[in-house]
Amino acid sequence: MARAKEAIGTAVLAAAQRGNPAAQAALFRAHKDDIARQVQRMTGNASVVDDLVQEVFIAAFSAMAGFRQDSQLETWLYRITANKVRNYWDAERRRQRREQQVGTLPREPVVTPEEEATAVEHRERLYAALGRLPHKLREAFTARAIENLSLAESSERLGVPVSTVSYRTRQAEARLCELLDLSPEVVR
Amino acid sequence: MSTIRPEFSPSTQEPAVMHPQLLQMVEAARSQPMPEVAVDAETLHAAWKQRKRSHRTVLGSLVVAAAAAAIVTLAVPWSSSSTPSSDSSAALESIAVAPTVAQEATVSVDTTPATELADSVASAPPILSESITVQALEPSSVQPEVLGAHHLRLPTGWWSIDSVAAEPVQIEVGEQRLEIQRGHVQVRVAAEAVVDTQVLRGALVHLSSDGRVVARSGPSQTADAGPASAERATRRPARPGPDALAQEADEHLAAGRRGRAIKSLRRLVTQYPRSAAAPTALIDLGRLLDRAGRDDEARCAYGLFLQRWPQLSSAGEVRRAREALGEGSVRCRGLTPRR
Repeated sequence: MARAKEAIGTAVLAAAQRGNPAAQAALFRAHKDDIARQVQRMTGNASVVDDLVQEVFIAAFSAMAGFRQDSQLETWLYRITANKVRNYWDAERRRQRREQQVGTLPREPVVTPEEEATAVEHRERLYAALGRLPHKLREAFTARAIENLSLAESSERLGVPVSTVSYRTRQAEARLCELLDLSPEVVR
Repeated sequence: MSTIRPEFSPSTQEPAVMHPQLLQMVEAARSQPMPEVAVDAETLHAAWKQRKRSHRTVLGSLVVAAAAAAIVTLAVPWSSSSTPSSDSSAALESIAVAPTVAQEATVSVDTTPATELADSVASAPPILSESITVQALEPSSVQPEVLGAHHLRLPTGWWSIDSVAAEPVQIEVGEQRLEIQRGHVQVRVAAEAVVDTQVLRGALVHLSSDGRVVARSGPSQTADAGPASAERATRRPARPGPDALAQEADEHLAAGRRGRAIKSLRRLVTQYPRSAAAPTALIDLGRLLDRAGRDDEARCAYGLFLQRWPQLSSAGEVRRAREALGEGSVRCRGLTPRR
């Protein structure tokens, strides 16, 4: 699959750079699932996936002429995705601040099936806390912990040294534990 | 004796998460089912072409506006050298040109703030959301700087900013920060400071440097509030107009009277469906109904918005909100769910 993606990317990249619809469609089909998964894992919000996937590809097609091919296409797309997700989190924070300004109106409780309650609650709490982290810490933690990338893979995707990824991940974990009020247990 | 300090080199076996409870949450996030992507290649290509066209229109208009501003700057000194009786009329004529051109320069569609793109990407300048209109109310040789889809820096001049976007518009003037919340505001800027503001619709919020609200103002009632509001200020409508209903809803909301806010917004949307305040009111109505657990009514409100204004940039947000409510089992007649 990876080799097929690479072959598709190399073969159609020049045509996509010229705005060829078929070439752009091929690139889209080859990478849309990866982008969708990344968006989902970065935001925790399935309802924004379609819009953000579209935004990522529109930005990529618009800037494709500037893709210097000195990095993998997947890495380049990942960075565009991360930047679009930053906009999403910025908008989320502004929306929450606006709602606080007009007074907090309690949301009616959502009833979830009992067997799913814990997983859903865990995810919602985690992403609510992730949204409060600075972008760089959130991105490092998401890449390492949620997307399960290695240090080397995360370093390449984020464009920072391995030591920086490690440092930011640890910092993010410490802040998340504070925000989530997790007991300061002895870690493994 | 020398001390050799080893370089920090994390182990490749270093776990991503160390705290066991946090790991449990992370595993829940990892196990979230992957979404089906509903976007198709044809729609994507059409959206990309539309974005390109809009970008060219904005750039072209900005070039024209800059050229016109240069002409105005040259024309005024030239006219002052002619006979006294023709001076003021020539100057007025020259000034009259610029606002018209400046209005054309306010068209903007692309919401991609290209400054957000990765360094390795060749970036296009950011473009203002199409749901925001910026006009120069007097000639200015400097255009507002677009910092993002909902983010502007205003230079010296008198500016009108009209937004129907659900997301607030961030305005920077020197060190000052303002936020326009779904409204129409006129801002006069001199020497990198805000010297006057007039709120014609919605709300204007003054923020501190760390983002806290310092002051908030609603629509002005003064007669000298500028050309757009002069007529409105002298009118006394027999029943509340759309702006008054919007203000009424804001006041109910601020006081925690959700039910009354919903009623005010329903009146606005049904009595003034074509008003400038209607799109934002419909989004707010949907949100309030959603938060009140009135899911069927919320679906109808969101559905009505998407039916009337599918082209607005906030349509995406509304679509997401409606999808989050699920399918439901009722049909809608306007705002009213019917079984």
